[in-house]
Amino acid sequence: MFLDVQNVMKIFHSSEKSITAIKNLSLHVSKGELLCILGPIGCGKSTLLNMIAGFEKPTSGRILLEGREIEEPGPDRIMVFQEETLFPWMTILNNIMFGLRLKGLSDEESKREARRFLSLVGLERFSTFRPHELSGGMKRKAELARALAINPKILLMDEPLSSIDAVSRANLLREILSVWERTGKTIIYVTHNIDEALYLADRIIVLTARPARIKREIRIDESRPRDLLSNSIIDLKRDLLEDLAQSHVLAE
Amino acid sequence: MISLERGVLLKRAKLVTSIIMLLIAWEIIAHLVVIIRNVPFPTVYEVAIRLIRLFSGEPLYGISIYKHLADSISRWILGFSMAVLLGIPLGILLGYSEALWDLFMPIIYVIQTIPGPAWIAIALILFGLGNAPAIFMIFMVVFHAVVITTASGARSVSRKYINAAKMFGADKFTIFFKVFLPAATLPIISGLRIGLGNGWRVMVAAEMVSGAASGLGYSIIESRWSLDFPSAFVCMLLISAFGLFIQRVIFRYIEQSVMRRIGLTRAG
Repeated sequence: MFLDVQNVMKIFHSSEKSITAIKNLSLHVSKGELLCILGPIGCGKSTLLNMIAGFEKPTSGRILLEGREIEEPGPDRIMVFQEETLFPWMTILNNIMFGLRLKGLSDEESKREARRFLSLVGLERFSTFRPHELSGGMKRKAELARALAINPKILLMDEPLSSIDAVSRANLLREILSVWERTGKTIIYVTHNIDEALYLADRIIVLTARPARIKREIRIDESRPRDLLSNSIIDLKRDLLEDLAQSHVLAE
Repeated sequence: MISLERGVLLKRAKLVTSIIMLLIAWEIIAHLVVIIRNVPFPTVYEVAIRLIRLFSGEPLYGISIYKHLADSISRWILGFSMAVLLGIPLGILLGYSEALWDLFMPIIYVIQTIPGPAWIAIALILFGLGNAPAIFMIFMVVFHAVVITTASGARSVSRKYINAAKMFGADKFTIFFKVFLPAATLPIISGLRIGLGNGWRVMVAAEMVSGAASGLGYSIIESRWSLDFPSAFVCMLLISAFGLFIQRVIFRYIEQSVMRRIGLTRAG
């Protein structure tokens, strides 16, 4: 088992009340899989991702990566956050070299690797730019390159396209897919957008409203690139919409 | 290009208009006060004449207006720079460490509730009369502004960058120097901006109460006895002009060059 989420529960305590974000959730992800986690906004899917990344600890239960329990953030699990986290005071190249240097690569090697991954996402011409000089879509690509460059075991993506306009979004989805196909990375992609999930996923897991539990699991065998208007995909979409609508009603 | 220049011209014209409107309102109020209360409220003309006289070297309370201005500025610079030298490092530490924040922030918040001139009692006990109490009062006001803005800004703005750095395996040293400090630059700058304005304003009040025998604030409060109100008006104009100059010219220049260095441009 590659990634193993075992009976995880997460409760947040504030001074007035406790909120159960996730309840008895178990999940297995195999190596090289592209898993999409779909759920209504605020259902706890980001919390799940944060626990896999090591930013939060489960209240009970365990999360294992290749048999070892996750204790803290580390370079084997890289997250592409919903918000932008490129360092604005560094050039794009230096941003990508940051993680490579920390891995112990020499300046020369990390520069070479950084360049390689910049061209993987088509940003080689922008290596000397600062993040604020790039468009939203380009920044996402740079973050993707930064994440992939240090060769993590697993890539965690937390609604990475939620602040991107529709045209760049389609582009980036293709980019993510092609990166996945070329690198064979394990990806967990969290979203509330059904189309994104249908376009990308090997498997979709639908979460219920808070406290999050697995409501449904769908395996998608359609070949890629997928036509989101094909009959089989539309059938799936109808089912998923229904699931999400129910979760949403429960949430309200 | 032409339309751009026209826009700029129009903006300037509006600025000039607003200054003229202010002067007209001032003139009207002056004459009304003279008529109704029968006391000499300085008119624009009287103040302009006074300004020219003072600037050509006529002494005010024994010293030139330049000396008054220079004394005010040097007190302000001393109070401000000491507050910044202590406040920024403290703000950075409080923003970085949860424990230090919990320990020190309550004290800073207490200091914050006390208006600058109210420090006079402590200032006099500690330093007696002279320059030092005014400098102390400026220090107290700038200090808490710098600490609070730097600490709370650094704490919130850097969280996501620190998380990203942790993920890439950065140790504490790298996180502090390579990530936290650069990320805290913006809050530091806004702390400076707030401290700058606060310090300049309290400088005037401090000179009024602290027994300094020179300065713009001193000159204004002295008009109580001398009834030289036109000179007090000149001092008010200088306070405003120099305050604007510090914030709009000097500080903006520093701010923009720092921003460019760290690769940020301020929105708007």
